[in-house]
Amino acid sequence: MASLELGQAIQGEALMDSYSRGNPSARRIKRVRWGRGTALFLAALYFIVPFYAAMQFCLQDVNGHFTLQTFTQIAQAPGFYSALWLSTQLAVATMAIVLILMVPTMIYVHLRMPRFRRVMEVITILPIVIPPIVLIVGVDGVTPLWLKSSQWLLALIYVVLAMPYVYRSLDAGLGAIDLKTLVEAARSLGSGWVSIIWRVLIPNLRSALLSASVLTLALVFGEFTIASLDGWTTIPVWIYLTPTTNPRINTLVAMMALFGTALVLMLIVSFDRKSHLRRS
Amino acid sequence: MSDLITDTSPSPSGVSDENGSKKSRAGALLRFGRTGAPVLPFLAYVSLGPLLPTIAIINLAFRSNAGKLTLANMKVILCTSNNQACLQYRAGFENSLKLALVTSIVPGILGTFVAYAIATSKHELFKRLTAACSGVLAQFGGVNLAFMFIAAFSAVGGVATHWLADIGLNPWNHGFNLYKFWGVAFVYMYFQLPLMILIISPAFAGLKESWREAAEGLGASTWRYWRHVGLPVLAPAVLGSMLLLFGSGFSAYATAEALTAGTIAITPIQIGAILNGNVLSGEANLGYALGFAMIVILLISVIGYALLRRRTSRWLR
Amino acid sequence: MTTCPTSFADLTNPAYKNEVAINNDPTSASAAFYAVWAASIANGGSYSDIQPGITFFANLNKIGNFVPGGTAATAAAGTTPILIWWDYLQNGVASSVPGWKSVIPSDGTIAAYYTQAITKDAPDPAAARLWEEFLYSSLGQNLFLQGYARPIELPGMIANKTVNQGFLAKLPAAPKGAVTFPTMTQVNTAKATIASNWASAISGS
Repeated sequence: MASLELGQAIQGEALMDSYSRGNPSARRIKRVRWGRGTALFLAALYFIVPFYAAMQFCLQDVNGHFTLQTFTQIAQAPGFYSALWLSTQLAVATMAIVLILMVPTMIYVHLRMPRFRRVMEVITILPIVIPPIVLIVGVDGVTPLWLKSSQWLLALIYVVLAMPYVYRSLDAGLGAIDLKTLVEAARSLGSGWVSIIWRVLIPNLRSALLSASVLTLALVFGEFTIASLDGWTTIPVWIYLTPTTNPRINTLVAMMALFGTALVLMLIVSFDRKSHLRRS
Repeated sequence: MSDLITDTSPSPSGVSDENGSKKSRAGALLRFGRTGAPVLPFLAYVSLGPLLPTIAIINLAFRSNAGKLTLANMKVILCTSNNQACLQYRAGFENSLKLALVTSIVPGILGTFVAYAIATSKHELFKRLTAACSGVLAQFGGVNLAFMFIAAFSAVGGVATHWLADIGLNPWNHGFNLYKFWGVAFVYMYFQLPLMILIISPAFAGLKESWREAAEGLGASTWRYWRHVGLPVLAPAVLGSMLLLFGSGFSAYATAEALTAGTIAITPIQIGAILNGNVLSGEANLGYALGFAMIVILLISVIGYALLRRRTSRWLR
Repeated sequence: MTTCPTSFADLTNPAYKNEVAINNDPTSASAAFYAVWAASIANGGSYSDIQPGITFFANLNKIGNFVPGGTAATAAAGTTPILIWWDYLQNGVASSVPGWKSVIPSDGTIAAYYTQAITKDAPDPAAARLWEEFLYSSLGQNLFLQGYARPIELPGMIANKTVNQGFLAKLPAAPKGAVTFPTMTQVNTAKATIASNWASAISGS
């Protein structure tokens, strides 16, 4: 313990010295900047290296020369278009259902039942408790045959999986706009509820809605477990199970699914001017 | 429907009613029923969606093939008899838990540092871009991620492996194996790290700059600040987030399946092999029992997360 | 890779480090399961004993030759150049991937057959039966032949001259000797053995 006090005394002395010497905060800031830079650099390295390596893998031919023919080979790969069509249909259906379900609910909750938000947060965490591998098994046990043989069952399940992300996105978006004032103003001007939601709130929530949609899109184009166990060939299932003559095709489609959505989301965020306004 | 804005009814947060709490609680319930009606579709979907299948799983986990109630499945997966046939499931759980722990602690700590680095940046656009990036990367996983890593790091033909081999650092020669435990953990980091950054970033808002300045004014060094102010405030948030990462790492199936073609012995893969493979048959209820066990473990971790989060929100007010 | 292996024993050659794979996992994919069984026969096992096969692959794993995550896709990519798989499926891929060679190992082979079943609760059992009729007609059997598999009616079709000669010519040589199949009991025992022993054998390194 004595050494601790000694250490503190020395530190205090050093601090007093540095005060007299000039700018301690500036030195601290410089150290922080180095530490921050290193952390960010290492993180960036870990994320970029596999991406770059995989892209190089995809855009090579058998001799290692750069080529774009992998893209044309995708178009000719068997089953690609039907998988793409299925995934697209599911993505659109999931987005529609989840937004129709959640947007009015969340607007209502934010306006009228603010304490319910905590409950909603807990509810939206619940899908995490049930891993998809277990969920699909249970779903197979309870769904009636007519639903089980339909591809739309996947969309219904994806809505449950997408819910936490959509909730987060909408919650942040609704928190950033001054909901009460907007609604009050619209009401005082004589607007009906549908009109308020459609013409006032949704345009203001544009970026939150877009982010939620892109996250749902990413989910549908990345989800393998449920689709494969349910027997449907969506894009991820196609990537895994189709032995094409050139596996660069499979990998390239995987990369496009991964990073296409990332790119779109980053564009949305870059062009959005309102998200930095936060209610304090 | 009453006007949403001019809400004159007393808020459910509890009007001080001298006539006893019973009246206000019943009143609150009634009020919820009236005002809560529009929330019902959401509640219905959310409860039907995950809950009905869960009930089916719990039911089937405790039934034999003939349909009779039994604890036999539970006995097998808990492997109390040390019988050779059931050791694999115990090994599966051990591997799954180990994988979940590793991919929650390591990204947890690293993610906190990276998130701090981002949070203390002065560039708004950078912060928003990294937030968006984290959002999408946290969703990565499964087949797409596995294929990317195979293309980059496989032993024969991996592009990054070639680069490293050219500078004499071929990881495969030093014990690295993409398709075994540590390789899978390495790949899991790709979505666990962004997930951590995503979850922990709001917590830094609760660490007020004024506290830092006050501490410095009182003569505290950086280390003392963190030890007495920063870490205690952040600890519940970090721990809670790590619990969420634990859940995510524990339940991941597609990534491990695509990466190892189902050869790694973790519980989700075993469930897949029992219920969807074409080698084992007639053991479906065992698969349900394994699923039930997974749900219990995940429930515990989510409850832990919720409790820790309540402690965290104290600082964010 | 310059020299292709011709037997299971060849696979232990250090030149094949990190190159040998089975298609998928033996506890969930039939092709992989039979691959281990064939290795077992090559190493002193039999239809009643699959353990030598598990030991063989455990050893292969320990010396670093075995790669767990193999599929047809990784083999075509070159990331797992040696793949142990059904011959009829290999021949299907060989026609489209240049340089692919399909070899039947000289020291251990195994055969299996596919069966079709109609589920009791099928919504349209009559349609299912018609489908099965088609599969076992000469038209259906010739389609199997086109896929390099040996249809069950092949001897009869050769006798009746209903077989498609072009497809028959492309069929690789049948393995020497009579082809036998393990019984259901033996299959079930083997499955139980592999389910409990495979994972620990492979991960132990």
